[in-house]
Amino acid sequence: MSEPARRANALAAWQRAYAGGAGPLAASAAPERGTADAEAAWAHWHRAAAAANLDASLRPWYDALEQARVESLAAADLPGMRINLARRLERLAGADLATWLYRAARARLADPPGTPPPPPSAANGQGASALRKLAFWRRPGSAPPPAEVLQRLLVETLDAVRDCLADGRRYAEALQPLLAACACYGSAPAVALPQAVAGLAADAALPLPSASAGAELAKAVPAAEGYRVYSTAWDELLGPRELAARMPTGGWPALPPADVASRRLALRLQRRLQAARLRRWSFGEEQGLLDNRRLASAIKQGGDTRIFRREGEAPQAEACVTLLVDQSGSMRGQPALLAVQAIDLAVAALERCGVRCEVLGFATAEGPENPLRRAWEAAGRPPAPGRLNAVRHVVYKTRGQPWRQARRYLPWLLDATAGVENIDGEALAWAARRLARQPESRKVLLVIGDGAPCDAATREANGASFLDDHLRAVIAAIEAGPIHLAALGVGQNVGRFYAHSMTLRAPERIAVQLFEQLAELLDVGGERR
Amino acid sequence: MSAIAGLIRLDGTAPDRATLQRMQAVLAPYGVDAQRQWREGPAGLLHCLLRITPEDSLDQQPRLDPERRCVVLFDGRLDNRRELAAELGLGSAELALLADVDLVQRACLRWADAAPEHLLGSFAYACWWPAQRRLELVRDAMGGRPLVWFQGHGFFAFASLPKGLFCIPGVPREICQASLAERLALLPMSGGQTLFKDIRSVERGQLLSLQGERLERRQYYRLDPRRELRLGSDDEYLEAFSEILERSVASCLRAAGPLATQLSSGFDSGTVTALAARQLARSGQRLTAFTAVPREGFDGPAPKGQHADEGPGARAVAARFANIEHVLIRANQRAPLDVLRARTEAMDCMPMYAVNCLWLDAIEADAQRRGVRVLLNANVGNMTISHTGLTYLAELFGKGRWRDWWRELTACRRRHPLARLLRLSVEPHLPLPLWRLQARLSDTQLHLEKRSALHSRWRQGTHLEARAKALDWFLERPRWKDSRQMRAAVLSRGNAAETAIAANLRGLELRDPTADRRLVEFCLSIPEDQYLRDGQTRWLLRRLVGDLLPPEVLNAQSRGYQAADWYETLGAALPDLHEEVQRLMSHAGAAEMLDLQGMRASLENWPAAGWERKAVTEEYRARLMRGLAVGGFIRYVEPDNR
Repeated sequence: MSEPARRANALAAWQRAYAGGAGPLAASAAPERGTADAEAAWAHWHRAAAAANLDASLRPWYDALEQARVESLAAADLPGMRINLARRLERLAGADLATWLYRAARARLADPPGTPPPPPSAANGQGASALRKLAFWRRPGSAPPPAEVLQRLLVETLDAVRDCLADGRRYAEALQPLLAACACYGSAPAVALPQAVAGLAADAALPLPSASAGAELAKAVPAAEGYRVYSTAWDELLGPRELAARMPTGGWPALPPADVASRRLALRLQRRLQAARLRRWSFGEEQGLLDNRRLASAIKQGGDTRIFRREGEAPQAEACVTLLVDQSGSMRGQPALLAVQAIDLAVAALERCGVRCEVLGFATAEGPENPLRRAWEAAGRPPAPGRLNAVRHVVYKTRGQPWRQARRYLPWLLDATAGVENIDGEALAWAARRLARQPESRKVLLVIGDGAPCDAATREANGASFLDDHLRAVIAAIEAGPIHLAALGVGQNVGRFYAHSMTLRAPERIAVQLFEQLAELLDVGGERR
Repeated sequence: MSAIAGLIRLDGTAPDRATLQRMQAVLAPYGVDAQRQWREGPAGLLHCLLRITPEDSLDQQPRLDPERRCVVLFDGRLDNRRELAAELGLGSAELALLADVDLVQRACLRWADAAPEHLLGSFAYACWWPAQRRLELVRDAMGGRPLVWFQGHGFFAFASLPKGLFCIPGVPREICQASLAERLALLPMSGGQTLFKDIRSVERGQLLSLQGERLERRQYYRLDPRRELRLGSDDEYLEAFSEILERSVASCLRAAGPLATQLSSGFDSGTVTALAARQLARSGQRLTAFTAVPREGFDGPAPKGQHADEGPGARAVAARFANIEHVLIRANQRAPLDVLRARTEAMDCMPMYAVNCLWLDAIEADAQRRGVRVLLNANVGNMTISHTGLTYLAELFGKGRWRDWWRELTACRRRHPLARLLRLSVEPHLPLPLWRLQARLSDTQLHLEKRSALHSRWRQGTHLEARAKALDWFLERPRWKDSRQMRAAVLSRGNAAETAIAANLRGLELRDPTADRRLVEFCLSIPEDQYLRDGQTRWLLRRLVGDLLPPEVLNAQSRGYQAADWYETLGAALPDLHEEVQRLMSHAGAAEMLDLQGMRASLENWPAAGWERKAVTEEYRARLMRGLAVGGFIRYVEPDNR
């Protein structure tokens, strides 16, 4: 079955199941649903870093086209959103250039591609005249292209990128000529685009919360006293889709096999977890194995016939584990390699025992050429700017995902491009929020890292203890809740932050200590230390 | 031996439990046998115990007296238990059931803040008086155990190591650059400054008391180099010396497990090993003696006047005692940089003598494998028992006792070059410009740049010269007129406490009988002619151990060169060293403080030969290795991701 046919079937099935047909659904879709879905699409598909180098004057035009991209992606995958967004598009008012760009891009990126509406010059002569006047005054040296040329340019540009819509960076690069043409019309007027776009276009110096880099990341910043983020515009949340986009042709090199000792340890943990489920006998049963201690009561006249015992599964609290790995520069090399091998074994063992498990990574996206820092410097270095780097949070494996599918992404952790600095507090808060939503009663968050949070730009601008204090506040909040938090310090003692921690003096002990820690946290007894 | 810590809330609220828990978790490896906390009112105290002495089995800290008047945390060992018990009116049966902390608590209850004057040994303690809300922190006279503190907004905290304090929110973890420069320049760390910003140390022989927010310091003990002891005859000196040294060694043998000693081919360790073996033999106990020697077959050169292999001399000492098991430690299996990193983390400061770390670490590792509880050394022996006495020549010359000076000079000529003897005699009395000129001409001037890889630009900003002047110290070669003052200054400058507590991680206690306060006082107070007589250096000690030590030690014409194959070890790790320097170059702090270009140039020009030459050993063994140690410390405190 072809992709369009599959999508059409899915849409129809969804409407049959949940909405009883397209008509009633379309009629009942409240306008705010469309707005919410637009924001959700922006939060999920937009990557701030993709257009990090874009000139500020081009930003409003780009935002309009980017919004069209993320909504097109959402509409392709999710039938419900498709209906809500279509409804919202119908109701969208405005005859300015930015709104036209958005409408035209939505139409052209739809499946099948539609014909864009005529540009403002054709549709509204008064508006076009105003645009030209504005352009004349603002940019005397560059005449704006005719509206027809702009329309043709838009169609050609969007047609060229419709096959790689998921790659935000490539999309932004392809838009450059179109954006330059739009800029000839002067600065963009206010445009009635979703809130997410407006938030992004706002002043980067605004304190949190900002909705720019995904609601999840923004919410991950807790209201710790004194902690601020200069901007979340460049923050990244990478999932399987983004990891796949980064994967080189032929994939990353396969994970080197773990040593025999590590595999043995994984097996031992697995046995322990399985054994913990089969350690309960119920007595006084009418069937099962004979219980010698109750034989006397059976012989007695009118005695009890429930003289059997049966082995059953102990009512064990369901557990959910999150492994959060620091993938900053200091972990590069052998620590990262051993961590990856140990995680690979541990997740496989946990999965076989039915323990749901999530693997997350954290670092910062930007190194010395940090755009946040440049923005802060350009703004005159205002005091106490807060976090001055873009966080990068990576979902290597979600709880529902089988490990056999997810493990191919794990080698990226060994790559030099995986991350630079580490801002542990926000990563912990993010991981804890994800974990807290899980239904299991026992929640385990295990952090694997090599010491304190570290970001040169943030430290320089806010003082050495800024990130440390935030990490402490986050840990205190997590430890006060139902999550069991522990840390494994690779080469560095992390005990000054975490109440429960272990230090790996020799990197090759990572597997031993990881499995011990897991066994302890899952309450199946650890190795004696 | 223990690790202790406490947190006092100055606003009267209860200290945070989680914070105390973290402090305990961080210090627990230093006291693996028991960890306990005590919390009441604004105070939270914690103790991590490593059982070393037999009485440690009775130890239960934090110790609250039955009437709840004071709580004591004690880390260390008392060497005058019997005398103290007599002062406190305790019988021997009662004493046998008391741990050292119990005696300290009774002393505190009896003499309050005058208690430290009654205590002898290697210790640090904290005493909290709940009713008065008063805290007392004390370190012993010789500074054998560490104790640091921090006063923040609304709280006061103390701990055996800075890492205990870093668990507390609000305590900065930053390098104090001025202190780092002073430590590298081997200046005395006065004023309690540590290598960390705003974290201070209780100084040796100091009582620090906190009442409310008011801090008071009282120096209850200070080494007095002016004190003189005059006895009737040479034999009386010998008798007194023998008695005090035997008692010092005996104090160090109180252990609930096997004992060992670091044995080289020199006088100090030989004497300590011989006396310890003799005393242990009386009770049928054995002693393990560890000697670090070069790898099998090593025939590399040693600097002039030194021998590369200390094995034969040490073996000759060990052979004299049937209860000594002699163990040769040939090489450390761990990579040099790993050893430095581990030591830095264990001590919360960098090792000053990085090359020595390698063999010391190997000895401690072997001792740990053998279940040793106490490892004896004689680290300050050359300032106490085995002082050569050659400085006596300068004293005679300065006092104008020409005849005596000439007699000693001519007697000394049999073993020492005349030029050296003349230099020793005259040099300290030269006017300063002339002294500097002489030192430069004779190439005996010690430049700071040659000993440490400090960046000259950074060094200029630390005002080291002014600081040295204020301390009446020298950045170049010391110029001492008075041997006692020199020895007292060197003894006061040492930082044995960090090394001592680092050994806790291996379940060991390091003990130095030559640093016993009674012995130090005696050795500093007797006349110089007891050390140099008729051209014979170490005259007093020679008379004492003449029958104990073998001729290989007594008549040795050269002294041992520790870790003689150090350049082979480092050469094998050259790629790691290059990588480390590269890492340091990308670290802003390290690049600012250290002459990394110079260090890299040293690595790139790794010599193929000539390792015995002074210039080479200075450049590689001292400068490069110290630079790497400091760089490692900077990265430990201020980690980065590059």
